[in-house]
Amino acid sequence: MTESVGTALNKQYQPTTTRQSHARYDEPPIIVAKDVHKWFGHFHALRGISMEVYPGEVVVIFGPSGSGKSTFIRCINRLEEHQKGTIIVDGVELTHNLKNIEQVRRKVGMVFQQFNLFPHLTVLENVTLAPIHVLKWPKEKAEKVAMELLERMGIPDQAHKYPGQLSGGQQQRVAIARALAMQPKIMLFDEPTSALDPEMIKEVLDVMVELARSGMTMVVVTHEMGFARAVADRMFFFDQGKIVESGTPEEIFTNPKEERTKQFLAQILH
Amino acid sequence: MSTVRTTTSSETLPPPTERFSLLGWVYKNLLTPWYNLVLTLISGWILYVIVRGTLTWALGARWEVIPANLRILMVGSYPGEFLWRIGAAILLLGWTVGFSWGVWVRQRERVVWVLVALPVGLALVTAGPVRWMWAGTLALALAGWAVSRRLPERMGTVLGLLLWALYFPAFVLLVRGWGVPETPNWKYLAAWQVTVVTFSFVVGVWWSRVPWVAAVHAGMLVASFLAPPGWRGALLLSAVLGFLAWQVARRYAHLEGIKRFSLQVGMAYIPLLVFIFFAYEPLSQTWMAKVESAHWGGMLLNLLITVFGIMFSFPLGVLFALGRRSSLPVIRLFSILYIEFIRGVPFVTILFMAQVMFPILLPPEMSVDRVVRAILGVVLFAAAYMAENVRGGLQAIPKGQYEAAYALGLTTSQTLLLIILPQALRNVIPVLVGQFIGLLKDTTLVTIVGLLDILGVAQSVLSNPEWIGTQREVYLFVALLFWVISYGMSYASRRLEKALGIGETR
Ligand SMILES: Nc1ncnc2c1ncn2[C@@H]1O[C@H](COP(=O)(O)OP(=O)(O)OP(=O)(O)O)[C@@H](O)[C@H]1O
Ligand SMILES: [Mg+2]
Repeated sequence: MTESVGTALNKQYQPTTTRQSHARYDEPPIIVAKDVHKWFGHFHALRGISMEVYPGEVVVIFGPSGSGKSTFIRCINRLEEHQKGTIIVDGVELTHNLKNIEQVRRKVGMVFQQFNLFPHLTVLENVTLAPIHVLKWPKEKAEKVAMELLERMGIPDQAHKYPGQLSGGQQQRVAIARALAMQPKIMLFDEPTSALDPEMIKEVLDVMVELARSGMTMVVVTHEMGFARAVADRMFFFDQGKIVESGTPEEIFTNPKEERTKQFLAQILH
Repeated sequence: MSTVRTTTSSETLPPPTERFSLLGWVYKNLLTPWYNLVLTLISGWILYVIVRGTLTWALGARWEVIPANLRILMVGSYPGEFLWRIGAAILLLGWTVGFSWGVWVRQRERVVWVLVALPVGLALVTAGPVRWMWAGTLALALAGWAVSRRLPERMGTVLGLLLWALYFPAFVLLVRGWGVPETPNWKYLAAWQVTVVTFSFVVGVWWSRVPWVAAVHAGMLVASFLAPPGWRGALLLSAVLGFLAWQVARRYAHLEGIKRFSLQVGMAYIPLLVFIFFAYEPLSQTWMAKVESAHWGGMLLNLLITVFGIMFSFPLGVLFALGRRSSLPVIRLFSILYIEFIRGVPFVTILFMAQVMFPILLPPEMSVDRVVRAILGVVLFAAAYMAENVRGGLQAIPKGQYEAAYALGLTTSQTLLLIILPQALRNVIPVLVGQFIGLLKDTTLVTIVGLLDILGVAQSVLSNPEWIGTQREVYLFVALLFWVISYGMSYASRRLEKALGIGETR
C-alpha cells in the first residue's frame, strides 16, 4: 500500500524548487478553531472541528465531496456563520460583531474554485478595486502594487483585458493577485485548480508554491497531492464534518493511521 | 449555398464570390417558381392600392393645420415673450449632448451624422427664430463634441456628469423662471461676483494658454456701461475681479494639485448657486418672470413628465428592487407590498389618486403643483415596474460575485454599488429603455386628469371649428413625433449596450 502511494505520488505535480518550511510554531497560532459546529437546516455539516494554524504554515485540507471542507474554510472569513464553538483569527474572534468581521476579512484573502472575478472590470481594475475602496490607497499606488503582483503571477501583459478574454489558468492567477493586493496575512484556497484544464493546473500550482515559499500562511482545500507533499506542513483529512486524521505529509502518505484515509488516498491517487 | 469550400493541405482557396445582380435577384426571388410570381403579383397589387390611397389623401390633406398650431402643440399656452427660455434650454441641451457624445461615444465611424442630421432636419422644416435656434443647437453640439474629444478622458467624464447634473435644474429654472429683482440686493450681487471669479479661476487653471477668455471680461466691462444703473457697479467690479482671478490662475496653473483644487472650488460653488436661485424666488416681472405650470403644455409637458419620471423612478425602482431582496423582513415586506399594490392598479387610477390624494394628505397651506402631482404619480407607478425589471437583473448575478466582494473586505453598499448593480443594470438596459419608452407614451394619459399635454392640445385644436375634420393630419403628426423620439431612445440604448458590452465575453 505505502509503496504504491509513493509511486503514484511521483506521477503527480512536482514543483521545481526544493522543500522548505516557514512555519513558526514558537509563535501563538494565527487561526484557532475550537469545536466548530455548523448546521444547514437540520443537516449537521460541521461536527466539532478543532484546528490551529501557525504563522507561515501551509495547511492542506482534503476529503470526500460533501465532507465540509468548503464550509469550514468559508467559516474562517465568515462567508458562512458557525453556530457553535469559536473561531479566532489573528486575535480577533468571529462573532456577530461587524467590526470584527470587517477586520478579519482585511487580513484574510480567499481564492475560489470558480475564480469569481468581476467580469465588468478589467484585470487591473479587479486587482486595484479593494485596495482603493477598502484600504483607501490612491489609485497610482494601487496600480503600481497591482502591476507588481501581476508580474509575479506572470501575466503583466493581460492587465487591460477583461476576465472573459483570459484562459482559466490566467483567471485564477488574477484572482490570486486580487486577493494578495489586500496584503493579507492569511490566504484561503478552496479547490483552486479543480475547475481548470490539466495543462493549466501547473501554472496555478507554481504560483501557489512560490507563495508558500515566500512565507505566506495558507489554508488550502485541494486534492493535488503532489502540491501537498511539496509544500504542506500539515494535512487534515475531513470526512462527514469531522477531522478524521491529521499529520505531516510524510505521516499521511507513508503511514496513514485510519482505514478511511488509506481508502480515500488510494482512490484519488488511482 | 451551392458551392462547398474545399481545402487542400497545400493551399487554401479563397471563398467563392458571387456577383450581385439586381435582375438576377429579382428573377430568383420574385418570379420563379410560379407561386412566387403569384405572391409577387398579389402583394404588388395590395401595395399599389395602399400607396395610391395614402398618396391621394396625403396630397389633398389639410396639412396647414400643423404649422398653424405648431406652437401650442409643442408648448401649450406658454407665453410667447418667454419662449426664448425654452430655446435656451434646447441650446444648452445641444451643448450637453454634444459634449457627452465626445466623451462617451469615442468611436469615429459614422456617428456624428446623428448629431448633425437631427438639428439640420429640424432647421429645414422650421422657420424664423426657431430655425436659428436649431442652427445654434447644431453649432453648440458640434462645439461641445469637438471640445470634449480633446479633453483627457477622466476630466471629460467628470465634466460630462457635472453638465448633466446641472442641466436638469437649469432646465427647470429656465422653463419655470424665478424672477430677478429690478433693484439688485446685495446677495445677488455677491453671488454674481462669486460666479465670475470662480468661472475665471477654473478656466484660467485648465486653459491657461487660451488668451481669449479675456474677451468675457471685456464684454462685462462693456455691459457695465449699458446695464440698468443698479447693476453697473457690480458688473464693473466683477469684470475687474474676474480678470484678476483669471490672471492669478494662469500664473499658478503649473502648480501640482491646482487643477484638483480648482475643481473642488467649482463643486463648492454649485450649492451656492442653487441656494441663491431657490432662495430668491419671483421678485420681478422681467425676463425671468415665473411661468405658472398651468401654462406648460403640449409636447413640452410630455417630455418634462417623461424626463423627471425617469430621473426619479429609476433610483427609486433600484431601491425597491434591493429592498425586495433585503435580509431585513420589514424592508422586504414593505417593498413587496408596494410593488404588488402598484402593479395591481391601473395607471390612470394612480394618476387620479395622485391628483386628489396629495392635497388630502398634506396640510392645506402646502399645495403641490398639478404638474408635480402628475410627475409624482408617474414616478410612483414606474418605480414598481422598474423594481421588477431591476430585480430580474439582480437575480442573474451569481452568488460568487457577492462572496468575492465580501471576501475582499468590501462593505455591503460598496458591493452593491461597485460590483452588483453595474452588472445587473447593464443586463437589463434593453428592458429598462423599453420601459422608458412606454413611460413617454403613457404621459399622454395625463390629459385625463386635465393637463394639456400634446394630446390634450390636439383635442382642443380639433374642436376648433376652423380645423374640424383634420383628425388624421393632427394625430399622424403626433404619432410621427412620438415615433421619432422613441426611436431615438432605442437607438441610444443600443449604442450604450455596445459601448458597455466590451467585457461581456465570458
Ligand atoms: N448553503 C447550503 N445549504 C444547505 N446545505 C449545504 C449548503 N452548503 C453546503 N451544504 C451541505 O453541506 C455539506 C458540506 O458541504 P461542503 O461544500 O462544505 O463540502 P465539501 O467538502 O467542500 O465538498 P466538495 O468537495 O464537493 O466541494 C454538503 O453535504 C452540502 O450539501
Ligand atoms: Mg467544496
